[in-house]
Amino acid sequence: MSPDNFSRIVLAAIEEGLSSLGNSPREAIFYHLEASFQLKKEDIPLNLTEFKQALEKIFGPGTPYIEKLITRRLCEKLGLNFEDDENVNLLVYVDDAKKRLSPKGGEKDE
Amino acid sequence: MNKNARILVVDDDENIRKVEVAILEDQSYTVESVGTAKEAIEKSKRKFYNVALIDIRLPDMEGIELLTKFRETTPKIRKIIVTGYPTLQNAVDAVNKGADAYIVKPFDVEKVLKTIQQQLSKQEEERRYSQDKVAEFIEARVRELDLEKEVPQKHRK
Repeated sequence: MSPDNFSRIVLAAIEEGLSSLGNSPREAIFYHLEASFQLKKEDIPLNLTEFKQALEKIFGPGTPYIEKLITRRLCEKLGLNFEDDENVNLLVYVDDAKKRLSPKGGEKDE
Repeated sequence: MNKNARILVVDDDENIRKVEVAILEDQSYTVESVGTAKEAIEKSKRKFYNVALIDIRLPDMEGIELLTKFRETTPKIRKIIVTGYPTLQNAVDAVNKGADAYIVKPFDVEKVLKTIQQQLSKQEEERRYSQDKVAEFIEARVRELDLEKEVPQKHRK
């Protein structure tokens, strides 16, 4: 799978995961990610650490639930196994997915 | 109306359960059924249900007591008491314990379906309200974070 395709899938998973909160909250999150965290929506897949940090600043202890929503969607899209436990880490799942889908091994997201 | 709604039927009478399930599945609702309060509580912990139809007499607990035992969710599960023994006291107790509606047996199918639709509408309103609250929270939180960034700059001046 090409990096571009993978990024598109990651972004779609994020959009769908955030849509679980509702359309207004989803749009508010994207708006403020760009306005206050200088993170444009299309750049999120290549800046997942910054995305996660921004979510943590906004949602605090609620962040893991949002991560879980996004990660579940991502696994559904990629046909990967999703383990529903307390410590779902989106970054770990993305890295793991990159490794599985790229024969050469994925680059680490910073 | 939301035809993907999930409904939990709680009645110890297997024949009643079958009838209720058949009526609701015919309307394209997703339906599960249990015969005891304990099973209903366990189900509510594992899955989200939009509506619960609860018989007032269960073998292990009064249906009205069960109203307070469901896992709390947002939006909250809509709870409908179903009884073949309607009394004013039952109705008062049901409301006080958090029932959202009250249905009398033998069923009037149209009334049952209309009651469920009304409860789903109210739940959808509650969901929209919660979503608006989340959006407001995001706005307020980001404003707070922006102010936190400004404070060190002011102190430097």
